[in-house]
Amino acid sequence: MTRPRLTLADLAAGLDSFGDRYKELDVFADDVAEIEKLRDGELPGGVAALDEKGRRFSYAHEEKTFILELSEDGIARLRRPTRPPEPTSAAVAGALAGAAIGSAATKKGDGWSTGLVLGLLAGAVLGSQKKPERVFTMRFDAETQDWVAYDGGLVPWMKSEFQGAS
Amino acid sequence: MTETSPLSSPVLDARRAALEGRDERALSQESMPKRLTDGEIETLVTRYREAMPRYEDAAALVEARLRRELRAAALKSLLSSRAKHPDEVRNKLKRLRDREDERATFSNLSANLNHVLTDLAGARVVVYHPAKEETAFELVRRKFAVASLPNAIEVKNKDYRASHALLELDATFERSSIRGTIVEVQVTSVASHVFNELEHDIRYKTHGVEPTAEVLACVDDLQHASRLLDRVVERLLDTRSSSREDAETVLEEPEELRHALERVLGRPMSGDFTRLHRLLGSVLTRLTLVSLQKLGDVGQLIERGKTSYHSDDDVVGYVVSLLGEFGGEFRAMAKSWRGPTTELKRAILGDTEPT
Repeated sequence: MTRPRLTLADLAAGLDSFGDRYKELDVFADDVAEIEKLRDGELPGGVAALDEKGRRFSYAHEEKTFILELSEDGIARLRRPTRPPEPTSAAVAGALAGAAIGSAATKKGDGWSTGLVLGLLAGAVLGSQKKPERVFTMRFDAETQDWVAYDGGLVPWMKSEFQGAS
Repeated sequence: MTETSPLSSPVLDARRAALEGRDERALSQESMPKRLTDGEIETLVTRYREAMPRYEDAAALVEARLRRELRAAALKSLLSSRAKHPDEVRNKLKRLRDREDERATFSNLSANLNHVLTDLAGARVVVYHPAKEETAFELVRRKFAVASLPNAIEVKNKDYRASHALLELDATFERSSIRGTIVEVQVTSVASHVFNELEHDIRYKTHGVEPTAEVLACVDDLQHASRLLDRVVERLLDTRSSSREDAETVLEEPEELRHALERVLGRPMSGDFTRLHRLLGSVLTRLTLVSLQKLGDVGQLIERGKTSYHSDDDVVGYVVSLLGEFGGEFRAMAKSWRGPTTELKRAILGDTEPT
């Protein structure tokens, strides 16, 4: 049976596809099951809030810790932390998660191909640039529950949408 | 015995000479091939008409494969193909007969019409940029089996301008019924094509009416105009490419990537630029000349890769050299490629046997 959505565990597996070569994995917020729970005011298992606005979270998975960041642009980014995260005990608003989900759906449009789940790995820097120059475009195969390479017609759009949100 | 007796010396000499002459003519006629008759020509045309579907299929399949290869190589071109019309076959056989071509015997033509009339199946590649004619022709020679026939490769560059290759369809074509068929591929520029077609019809298809001086003068004018058009098209396309040559401009199309790399390298390149564009586009945030130059010297990368993989394909060499940096990513992409397994795919996936 195939799942229609990604989970944070899938994002972690995607980020680790090439070891620690890449620093972050960007996906659309409406593709991630746990972000729906965040919209509804719930904290999924392994997730801790890092701010009150509901923008940053830590995610613990298989003895590793990742940072989950949401943006109003509709992007959800899972990245490796540069320092140990410090969870907040304050109540977390779910409005940002809701806005992210809505924006993602709007960007994709009503005609979005059902089941097409895209992701962009961003990583090493070439030369002296601060912004990542190295990326890898992927899609999540629901049949195999695995990430596979994507080099189709949406690559330029993906790079523009995902990296433009940073 | 009178002076007019046949035994008299001058008459005898004359008669002897006449007899010797007739013997020589008889001997020479025995060794001359028998001239093709109209009836025999009609028999050959009828046989060709019955076999015509084979030549139509052969031409169409070559065109299809050429279209794929030229697109992969990011060489913009127009393609067409055809089997020769039976009327054209008849006319050509008559011309061969009339100029006493030694191959124009019924037995020879019956045995293998296609080896004498090598353009029964034909495909044409018309490029826009005249300099790309040579690049496209090299691609034809690399990707297809050239027939072992006289003048299988011809590059004509005087009045008529085009490159011709005679291909023999080999086992790489799935349909066994067309294997062994000779297909003539012509590569020419848009401007030359206009002149070639009209000039050929005027000079060689006179239908008994020789072209007038005014017609021939127009043909000369057309030749000059076509040369000028070639130069204008070349300048237009080069100027347009140069205007986009800012090192920070994103190379959005395979053709732009090809042009950028060829400018850096200083020579035409071979290989699948469509796939190269996809590979690099998927691993670089911005596919620009600057980002490519950060990967290393293009020429050195190509030569290193070609040497290590024993390939003469520039794109294969370039990609092989980049496997150290992007091997995991390239392999993930190559695994998902559909279609025939190409040299590029084998090189990425680590198959040690090049083509």
